[in-house]
Amino acid sequence: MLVFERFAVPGRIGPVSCGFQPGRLTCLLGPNGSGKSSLLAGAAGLLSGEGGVSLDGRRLERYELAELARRRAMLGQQQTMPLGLRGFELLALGAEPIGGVTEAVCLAIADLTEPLGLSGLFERTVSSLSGGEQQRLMIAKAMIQVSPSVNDQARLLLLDEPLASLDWQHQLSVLRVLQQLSRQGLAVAVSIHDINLACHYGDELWCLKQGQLVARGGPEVITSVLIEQVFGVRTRLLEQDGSQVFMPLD
Amino acid sequence: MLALPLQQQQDRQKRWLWGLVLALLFSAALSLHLGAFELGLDALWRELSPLERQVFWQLRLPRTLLAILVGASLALCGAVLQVLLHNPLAEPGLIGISSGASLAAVSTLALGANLELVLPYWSLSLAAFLGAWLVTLALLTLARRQWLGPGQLLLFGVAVGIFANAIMTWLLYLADDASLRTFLFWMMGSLGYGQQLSLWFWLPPVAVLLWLGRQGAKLDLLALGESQAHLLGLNTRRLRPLLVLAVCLLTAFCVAMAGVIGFIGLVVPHLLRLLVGGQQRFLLPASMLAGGCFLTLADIAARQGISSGELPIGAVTATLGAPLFLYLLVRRHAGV
Repeated sequence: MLVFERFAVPGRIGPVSCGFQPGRLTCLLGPNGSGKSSLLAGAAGLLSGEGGVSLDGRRLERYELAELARRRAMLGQQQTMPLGLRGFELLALGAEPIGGVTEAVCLAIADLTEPLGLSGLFERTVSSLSGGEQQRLMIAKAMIQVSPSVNDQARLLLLDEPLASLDWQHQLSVLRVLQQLSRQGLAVAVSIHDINLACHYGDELWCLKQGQLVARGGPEVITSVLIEQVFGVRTRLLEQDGSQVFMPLD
Repeated sequence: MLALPLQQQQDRQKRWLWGLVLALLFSAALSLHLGAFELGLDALWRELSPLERQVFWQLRLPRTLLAILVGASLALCGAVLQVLLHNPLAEPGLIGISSGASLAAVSTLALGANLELVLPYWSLSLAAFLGAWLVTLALLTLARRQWLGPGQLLLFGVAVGIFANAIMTWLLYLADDASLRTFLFWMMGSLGYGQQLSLWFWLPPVAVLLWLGRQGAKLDLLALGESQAHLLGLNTRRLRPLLVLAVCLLTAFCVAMAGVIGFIGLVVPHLLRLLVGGQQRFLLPASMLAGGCFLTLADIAARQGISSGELPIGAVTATLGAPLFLYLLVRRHAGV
């Protein structure tokens, strides 16, 4: 389990004292600049601040880089696409921390890439792909790094706005695969802007505003009042056949 | 599912590496054979005359080895710089590293001549290294702090090159006849100085070259960007300065031993990337082999091109490389 111990980065995120739990998909919600990326970067060990962050009871800075790479994976918002690399070579880089591509890793890659619609992209040069296709490859690469079926040390998967450049179909497939990975025991945290998708797929939702965690809990914690308070948008909750959707009124 | 394309790619890369080894051996044999005094291929097994022995051991062999070493180093430095700066157009000559090294060495030479000092050869190598180091540090700082974008970094290199050439032209203009020839060597490149090198000069660059050529797996991660490489377990804070140091040492060695020879670092990795893909663990050793082969063949062209002497090797590589550079620049600008 990853635990924030009064973790704070002055000017970016206030003290946070809670954690991402194994077996749960946590969705981070909040307007631009609310601290979602800083929180994820702190959880990955990319950003240090006051307080601390522990994984399985041990501070992140006490881990060797290679050991940490076997336990957590993260995908940030900015991607650099290597020149001339093909899809399958990029995916294989995700397996580097766990000893490279073995037969078991190949099976895990097939399981992960099939639902993300990546099979047709294996032979193509990544720089020639569309933004959404590149994003799906990078998501799959991060998933391979901490796939519980091939990595028994895997604990945490962090994705910063992974759905930003994806079409609707692929947004849903990514969230379904993330849900599956969390069911296999991984703690998964993802920052997301679609409140309805977060409520539908997330086991736990964290709502941030100006660096402060203003709400945390199951989907029921998200209300029209909270949305107006955090995003400044008036909404109405529509219910049909047991499903709930927030509709903007403005 | 993934194992098959990976295996096929590895087999293909192996075939390419063996092909490049054969091409390098062939070009080296051609370089040993051709020249004003032709050595027949039977020289490999028959007893050599004293003159032939002198030509082989004191002229052809050192020159051929220097061509291979300099070509391999420049191509490898180009491939590594393209990852470090995240710019496919980066290479030691174009981004000003060679110019910095050349300017520092020529200035040291001019200062020595002015003060009537006899400078040891290593002082020029040291000056070339410091010049290369200063320009590389400036480039990395500008790239990391994002003060200059990829296109502007190239312009920075071009500006450094123009400035260095301007200063060297001044020094050339003021130099006496004895220094003139040496200055031209630094500015236009030549492999004719290979025979002056003792064994001790070869060992450090060969060691650095072999070390750098084995960093492909780490560079594959670094090519994803610094934070992704860190997240995949690579200690980028330790690796990056080592890579910069190695590139500086090799570029300085090349400039100190053969003057400024441009475009190899651009042409060779780019063509290999187009033909066999961009995996760094393949690209680095392949660039070394192809770079050595390319410069050896360019040197043969420089030696055999005109009957009345020898063309500057820098002019030969620039004639081949500049059109490709322009093509890449236009293609990149057009977003193709």
